[in-house]
Amino acid sequence: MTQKDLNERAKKAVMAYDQKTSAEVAKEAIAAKVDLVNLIQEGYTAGIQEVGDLYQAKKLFLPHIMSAANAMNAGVNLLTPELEKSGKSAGEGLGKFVICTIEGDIHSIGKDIVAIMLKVAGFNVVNMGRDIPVKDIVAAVKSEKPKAVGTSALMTSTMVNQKTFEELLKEEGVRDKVITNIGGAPCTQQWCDEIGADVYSENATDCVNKMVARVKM
Amino acid sequence: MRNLKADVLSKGEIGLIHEGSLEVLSEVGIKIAHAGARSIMERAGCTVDESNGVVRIPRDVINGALKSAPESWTFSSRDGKHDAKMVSDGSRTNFMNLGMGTKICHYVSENKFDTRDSTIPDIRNIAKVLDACENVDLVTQPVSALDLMDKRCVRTLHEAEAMITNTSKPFLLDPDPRYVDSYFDIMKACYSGDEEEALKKPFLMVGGCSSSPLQLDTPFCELAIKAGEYNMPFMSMTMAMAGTTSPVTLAGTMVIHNSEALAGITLAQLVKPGLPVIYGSCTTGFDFMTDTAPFGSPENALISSASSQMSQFYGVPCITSGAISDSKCPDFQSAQEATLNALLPALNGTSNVFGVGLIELGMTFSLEQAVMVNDMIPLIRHALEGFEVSSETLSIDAIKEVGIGGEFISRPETMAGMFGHTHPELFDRNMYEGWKNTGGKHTLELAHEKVQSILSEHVATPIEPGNLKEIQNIIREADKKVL
Repeated sequence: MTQKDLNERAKKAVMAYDQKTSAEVAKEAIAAKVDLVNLIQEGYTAGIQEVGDLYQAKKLFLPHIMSAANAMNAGVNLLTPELEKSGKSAGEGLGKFVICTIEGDIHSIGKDIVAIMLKVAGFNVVNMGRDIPVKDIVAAVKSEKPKAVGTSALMTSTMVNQKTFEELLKEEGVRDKVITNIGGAPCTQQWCDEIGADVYSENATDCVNKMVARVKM
Repeated sequence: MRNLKADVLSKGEIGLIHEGSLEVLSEVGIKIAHAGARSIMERAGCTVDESNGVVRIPRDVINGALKSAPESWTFSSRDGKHDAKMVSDGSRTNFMNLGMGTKICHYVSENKFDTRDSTIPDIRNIAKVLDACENVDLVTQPVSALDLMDKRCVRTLHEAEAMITNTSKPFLLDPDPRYVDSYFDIMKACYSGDEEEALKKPFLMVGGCSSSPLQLDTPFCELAIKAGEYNMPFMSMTMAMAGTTSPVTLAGTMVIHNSEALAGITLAQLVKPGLPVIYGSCTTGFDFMTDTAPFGSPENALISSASSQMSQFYGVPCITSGAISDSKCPDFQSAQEATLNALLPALNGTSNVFGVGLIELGMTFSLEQAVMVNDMIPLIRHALEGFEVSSETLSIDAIKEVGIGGEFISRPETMAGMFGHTHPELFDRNMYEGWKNTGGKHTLELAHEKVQSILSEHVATPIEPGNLKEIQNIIREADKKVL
């Protein structure tokens, strides 16, 4: 199997939502010692980006993107440890984006959709999960040095932690080093302006559009 | 026929959803974040896996809980004049607003609206309008006070005060589990310090919402436990979205919703057997064209209707979403959606239609929408009552007397029976010239005028000054403790 063949098969597996084949390609690629970064970029990522383009054109929808992402992860998750062993990286793409559901809140589906869409758009997404203490998010900003950090809150009782997060970033002296992004059903543009967050995202598409525009500024 | 009814689910289908839920609860289980709640479930016979918080609930535990849950109960009102009957036999449908949004849509002029974040003054106004709406039976906190988000105060208590000082109707709180004791103290204050009265006739309800699929978070559990301690009615609410946090089919979504609602009710009943509880549903579909969860959709109406039937099957009163619109302002969309989504669950015998006044998928409140839906409610009620066909109402004798080509206007039965027909306040029934001569105003403008007149003239049953002082004291003391 040549690099080109493996790339092609990876791309097809992603676009066919085929996790099994995606994983098989990754294993074959590791065994064949091909360029794994190239496989990710020209194979898996190329596949998900094509699905992403079809989603933007409203020809494909969320279920397709999620399934394609699952297929991609089935392969990429096998490649990542190999890359780390050899000290390589698949690249930062548009930049690193740390995302989580804020402290006290366990709702995650919206946030996970945003995470996938940002990945499709070309960001290197670090999904911290849900109910993440504000201090841990700040710690992640310090250690991961992302371009942006996004917090999701689905309840007005947890929304207030988005403000606490802004304040703690300032206290720790890292606020100006990162773009802050807020989202979740009760959040509004007005709330974003009030707490001093940089971007308010009404949904995943909104987040991607605003963030892509922002990093290309 | 009288009292029109529809059945979204057949008896067999109810049974399938029920059995499916029992299978899910006993095999998959539900993740319960609160250790104390897990212990309660374990002591009752559930299997608890402490490594991941998953509780598997056997059917006999659920059956026991359903047996102890009251089939009907009275949700008291602060002034005793607006008590709401909660039934589970389909014989009574109450209407209430929904909560909680974070925006309010202000009417500026026809086709011009200003939507902005909701505040404490907005909550006071909404409470006043809902108090004045004679067809709204109980209330919930409609929106959050975003102006208090960054203030050093106990926002939930200020919101509660804004509500209860402007309406005496039974009130489903937006509860913070840390302050259930304060909510109880506020009730006690309204009863001039009479704790027994507050325990016997609570006019505040607390509720929690499960996180789909199959999770009860810490606040939910804390509220279920505290509700039992203070004998406050407890609502176990769900908010799954078909195709995202539940299966894409409405039947599969019903299984997720039903499993979660049952788990919540079971916990509340294990804490306090006999506690008045509510089987709640704000579960709805998902529109993949907009990636949003619509509430003005037929899917929502169907799920609420099916939920109503499940609650009747279980003999537990329910609160099901309805009368909500996805429109961004009061308009044709908001009228159509509110109508369909109030009517269908009502036809299926829901105990409470949950949604008066809410638009934008439940996130924005419109006062004009509220008064328009208030005007619609008696029309729905009237339609659902059907009409009597009897030897008397057939009016054969009258027809024989009036004969061919006569008139029925001057008949004594007409004089006596004319007010049995509907006459809405805001939906104009004049012919064109008559409508023009009486101002020529469209519905929305009339609705706005009604809102203005309520806000300037309506006064809710006041809280006695001494009791109000005590409430304000409670809040002040709580505010002081905020770090």
